[in-house]
Formats: sequence, structure tokens, C-alpha cells
Amino acid sequence: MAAIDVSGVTKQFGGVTALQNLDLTVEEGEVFGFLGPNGAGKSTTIDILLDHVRPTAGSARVFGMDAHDQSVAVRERTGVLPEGYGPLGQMTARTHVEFALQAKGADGDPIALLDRVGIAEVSDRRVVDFSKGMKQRLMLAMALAGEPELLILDEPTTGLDPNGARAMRRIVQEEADRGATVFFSSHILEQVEAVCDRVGILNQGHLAAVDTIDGLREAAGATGQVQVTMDTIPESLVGTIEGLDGVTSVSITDGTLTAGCDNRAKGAVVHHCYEAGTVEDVETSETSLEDLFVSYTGGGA
Amino acid sequence: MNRLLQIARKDFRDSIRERQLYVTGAVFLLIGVGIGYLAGSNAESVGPTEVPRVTLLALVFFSSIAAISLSYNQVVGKRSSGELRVLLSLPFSRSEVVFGTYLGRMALIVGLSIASLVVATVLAVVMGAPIAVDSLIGAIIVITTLIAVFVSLAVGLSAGSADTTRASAGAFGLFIVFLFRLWDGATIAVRYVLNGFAFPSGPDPTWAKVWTHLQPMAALRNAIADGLPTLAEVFAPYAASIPNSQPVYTEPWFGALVVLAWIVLPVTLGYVQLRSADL
Repeated sequence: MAAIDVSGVTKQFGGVTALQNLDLTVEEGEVFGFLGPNGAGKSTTIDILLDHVRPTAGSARVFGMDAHDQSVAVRERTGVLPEGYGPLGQMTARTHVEFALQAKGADGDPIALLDRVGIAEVSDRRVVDFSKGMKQRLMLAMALAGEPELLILDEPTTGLDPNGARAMRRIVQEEADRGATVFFSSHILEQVEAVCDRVGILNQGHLAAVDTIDGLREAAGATGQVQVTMDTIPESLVGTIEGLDGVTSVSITDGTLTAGCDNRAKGAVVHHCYEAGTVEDVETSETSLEDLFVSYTGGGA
Repeated sequence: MNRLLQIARKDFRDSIRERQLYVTGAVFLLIGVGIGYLAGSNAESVGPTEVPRVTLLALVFFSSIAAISLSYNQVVGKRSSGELRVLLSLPFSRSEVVFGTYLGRMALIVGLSIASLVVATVLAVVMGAPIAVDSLIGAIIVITTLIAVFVSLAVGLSAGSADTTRASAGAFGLFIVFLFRLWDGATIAVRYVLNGFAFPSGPDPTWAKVWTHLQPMAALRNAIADGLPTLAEVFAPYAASIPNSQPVYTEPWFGALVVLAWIVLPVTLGYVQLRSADL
């Protein structure tokens, strides 16, 4: 049985269509990254899974249960980091987590959960005084309460510093290892790359692509690029490099040669440039993630 | 059930951090102390029903205001702050949020009001004034019922409002309609229109009389007019008087049904509104 099964969901707010006939399936135990530019409909999809908004057409099921009719049962088995959250009254971080544990009917040590997200030392401070990043960590701790079978995280790395973002990815990985299904949204492709089994790219209410990261890369062609800056670039060099195994494209702008290629071909590209003239700088990257994203979302990000 | 009470307890505890609660609490305490002291100072001349009656008279006004002003933001405020998203991401139903809030606010404002009555009574008794226990119990029942109505109105308004601005305007409307008798004034406006935009003359038509007795404070007064006549007097400033003919719509059982409707319907309608809303 699928953890999440969205079929034919359309959602209109007034005259604006947020989702158009969306189909999406996330298998149990999978880490699924839900990508798209701002306004693509990611949060609306998550809101429908949580019954915060109701679809205009179509239906969403979580663990086979209807997301609207059986919403409480769905949320009993789901840990959520929602978007647009606010603190619970004037409660401290510890009482927030205790409240979540109680609502889930779960035992658990609130301090251990706060420690896991790195804010145990402020457990007795009021959450209204927290920074954005601390609130984000607290919300994750509340989502983890009661070891849910499914984690739904809406833009979980927003507002986190690089250490926080890394901790978030580590926790996602740990939860996946425990056997939980993780569904999270992001508008930053690099953040999902390391942890996702599959990604879906949403654009303007449509699912533009669903695949593994590698699959998306292959579909888009080049998997990386190398940029070589030289004092002069001989005309024959372009043809030489285009002929190399694993090179898919070559272009020259302002004394810099850019070759789209497999990682294993990068050495050969640099070697031929070195033999052909004076190399001033070399940069290598896996840019195609960004390019890939832009290619699926029409540069709207 | 557990989750309903979890919301109610949380709502009650939230109030401890609200500055408005301390102002309200101080007012209620002052009412109790003031009335108790006055009664105690005139211990020889004061009747045994006076302390419950006069305290109830003050509380009818102040408890209604407290019920509206401490409740109208309790759901919609959470909706605009994002707290509601967190609650509804946990396994709470929308009905648990609305009715749990209702119970929490009831407990808070009933607690304040009973504290005021108890302070007045204890002070009066200590200073030697007589207290009729049945009147005291009657006053507690009456004020609890009235608070049940106004918390229902305010929480229902809060649950049914899409934003805090509308809820504030609605709360102001509740004050005017019920505490300043716009309810009764509405019949004159309707008659003015029906009369071809001229002021009506002659006695009130039956429908206008029935309307004035559907107002919750009038209905509550009618419900207790026979059983607790002394306490029923305190509603005189807010309600049309009972005609000598005692028509059916002023009977105690009818009043009790109307009061019940005022307790059940507003909060339920607010919940129904919230149930179908996109957050």
C-alpha cells in the first residue's frame, strides 16, 4: 500500500488554479523530495494531505485512508512540520513537545527530542521569543514525537543555518533508516539531493517530472561541467574536445571554455587544454541540478 | 474525549499569561470585596438575599463583557498566528479545537465569577451579615448559564470569522446588540420600515413582543422568574418586562428552551463554518 496516493487533485482558490489534476504516489519507506519554485502548489498539496484545505476535485489518501474523512486517523500516524506555523500560546519548548506527545498518545522524553534537534539547552524558554531557526527545529522535534510512520515536512530547511540544514538532513536519513516514509518539500534542489530516493518536480500546479535524481540527470543529458580559462584558445581545441568520449557540449565565452561532460571526462578536457595553451583557471561543477530544475520549471524559480 | 480536554486545559492555561486576565480578575475581585464589605458594614439591616442578588447584578454586566472580550479572539487569533495549523497538524479535529476552547473559556470565566461571589459572601459572613445559601447557589447557576451563552456567542464568532478584524467587529456588535439592547431596538427599525418609513404608533405587535423575549437575557430571566424571582430582577436593565397576561413565550419552560438554543447554536454554527473553511 502506498503511503501517499494523490489522484486527480485539482484545487482552485477563487479563480486561481493552484493544482491541476495532480497524480502522485509515494511508497512506504521512501524519502520523497517535492520540488518546485515558490507558488508551484507544494504547500497546497501538503495542506490537502493534512485536510487544512479541501480539493476542488480528486482525492488524496494516506495509508489508504481518505485525507478528509479520516484526517484525524491520518494525523495520528503522521508527524508534520507545517508551513506558516505559530507557537502554541506562551508555552516553553519542553511543553510544546509534551503537548505533541500527549496529542499523539505517545510516551517519549521531550528533552531527548529537543536534544536531537539541537535545542535542549533552551527547553524552558518561551517559544515566542525563539528565532526562526529555533522555532523550525522545535517544529521538527514535535513532528518526530511518537515515532510517526510518515513525516510530512514543508520547506524544513527554511530559516536554518548550514549546520541546521545538515542536521535536518541527518535526521531525515535517520528517520528513513527507522523505516519511516518521508515526504518533504523544498525549492532548493541541492538540499534534497543527498537524502531523496525520488523527487517530484512541481511547476504551476502540474507534476513536471518524477524520478530519481540520477534518472533526472540522465534525462537532461549532461551530468556536470568543467570551465577552463586560458590566455588564448586555439580554434582547433573546440573540435578536439567535442570529440572526447563523455563530452556532450562545448562553448566559449570571454576566454573561458565550458564543456558539459561526465565527471570521468573532466580530466581529459583539462589535459587537452593544458597541452593547447596556458591555463589560468579551472572550475568544475555538477551544475546540471540547477539547470535541470530550471529546465523543468521554465526558469520561473 | 482526551484530546477535547487537552485543548480545554491548554486554553485555560494560556489565559494565565494574558495581561487582560489580570485586569479582569482584579475587577471581579474588587466587585466581590466591595459588595461584601458594604453588606458587612450594614450587617443589621441587609437582607439574606442581598449579597447574592447585588453581586449577580454586577456580574451580569461584567461577566458578559469578560466572556466576549476574553473569548472572541481564541480561535481566529490562532488561525492568523499559525497556531491553528500546528494544532491541526497534530491529531486534533476541528470540533475538538472549537469545543475544547469553549470549555476552557467557560471554566475560566465561570471560575472568575464564582470567585467574585465567594469573596463577597465570605467577607459579608465574616462581618456578620446573613446569607441565604439557596440564593447564593441560585446566583452561581444563573451566572454560569449566562456565561455559557456569551462564551458560545464569542467562541462561535471566533470560529466562524476568517480574520481577526471581522471577529473584533463582531465582538463589538455582541456588546451593542445584547448589553445595550439593540436587539429590542431592531423591532422599532423593522416597524418603521413596515410603516412606510414613518414612526409606528400603537402597541407593539405580537411578533415584536415575541422577538424581545427571544433575547438570551430576557429568556434567562423568564426561565427563572417563578423559581428565583429575586434574582430574576437583575435582568431588568437588559430585557423587556413580562406582560401581565403571561403569554406562552414568557413561560419558564419556553425561556429555558430559548436559553438552551443560545448556548448550543452559536458555537455549533461557528464550528460548522470553520469545518468547511480552507485554512
